[in-house]
Amino acid sequence: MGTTENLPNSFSPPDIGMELPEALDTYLNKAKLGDPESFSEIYDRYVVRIFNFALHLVGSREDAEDITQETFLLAYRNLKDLRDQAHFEQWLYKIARNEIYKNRGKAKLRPDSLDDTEKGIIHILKSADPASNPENNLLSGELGEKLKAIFRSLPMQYKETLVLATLQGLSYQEISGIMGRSLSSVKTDVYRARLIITEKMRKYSSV
Amino acid sequence: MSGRNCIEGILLSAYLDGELGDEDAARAEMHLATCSKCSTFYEGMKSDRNLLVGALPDEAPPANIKVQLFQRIDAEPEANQPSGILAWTWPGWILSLRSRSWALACASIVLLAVILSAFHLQNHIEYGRMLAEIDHSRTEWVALGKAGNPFNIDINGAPLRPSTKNPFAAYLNGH
Repeated sequence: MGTTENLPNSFSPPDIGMELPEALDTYLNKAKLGDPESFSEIYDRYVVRIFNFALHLVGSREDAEDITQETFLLAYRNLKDLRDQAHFEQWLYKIARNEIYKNRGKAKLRPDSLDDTEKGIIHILKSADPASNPENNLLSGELGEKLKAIFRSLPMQYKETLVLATLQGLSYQEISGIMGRSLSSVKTDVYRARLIITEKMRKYSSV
Repeated sequence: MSGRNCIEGILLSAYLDGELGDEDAARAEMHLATCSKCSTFYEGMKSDRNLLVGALPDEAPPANIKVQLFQRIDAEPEANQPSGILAWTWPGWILSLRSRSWALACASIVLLAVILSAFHLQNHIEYGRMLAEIDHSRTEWVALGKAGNPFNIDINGAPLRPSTKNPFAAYLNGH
């Protein structure tokens, strides 16, 4: 297999698929019968992942909190209809994804749909334009901030695949199941997202 | 191979994520060792990936999400929460019958069984009634045959012709 090297220390590798399937199975069976403690265990295991998935995609902490809460509530309500418990994680991500898209629809209807983060990103992007003010580029902050801004400007589909593959450590196969798309299109999207980032970063560095 | 070539770029990206099989990964490694252009492109992607992971670290969700979530779960209708004696006396598969699809299937089966039973019962009653009528008619006919037809008329009151005047009379009278 390929590489898994050189991840920064701040990154804790996701433990998707690492837990004992029997334990999850037991919790799911009990939660299906309405046991809130078992559902609480399931919540604790997945909340960080779902919250950050939403946060990276919507960019607003408040919206990410709402999405997380709705996702788990819907999961609780519909748990009894989940037949293939082995794919619980994918099922949960699919619910979260639906909620994220619903939230995006609502956000577009708001009079001022840009939150502070997005406004900041636009500022950084503008300042990175070589035609605007080259001096500002040197002062505009960290490379990481620039990268964040580029990430936020990616099309939603690219952001999704990149978050799932790079930040959440899911396999392409799992991402394909969550997004309902072919393996090859997932592979292509991850690459295109990286290509955009790489090109914009080179452009930024060369200024 | 050039890093900008789409198909090869996809392979390098998949290699970065550890998504290539052993054979393809070995080929990629060998190529990266000899092609400086691809190697530069690959190193750039890797560096940006690591930078992105560092720039977007996981954040802790606030505790109030869980509190509010479980308040909402507590307020959910009982249909989702078996409790008391039901929770420990009923096997799981019976409880699972509460799901709508199962309930619909069971209701359909019961309805079909009721319709078939009613149809069968109706047939049974009709058959019994028919047998009783036949039996009654035969009794009347035999009695009539034995006694002869004193009025010499048919059921509509028309006079019987000699040839239709009880052809079995001789037999019934023992001749």
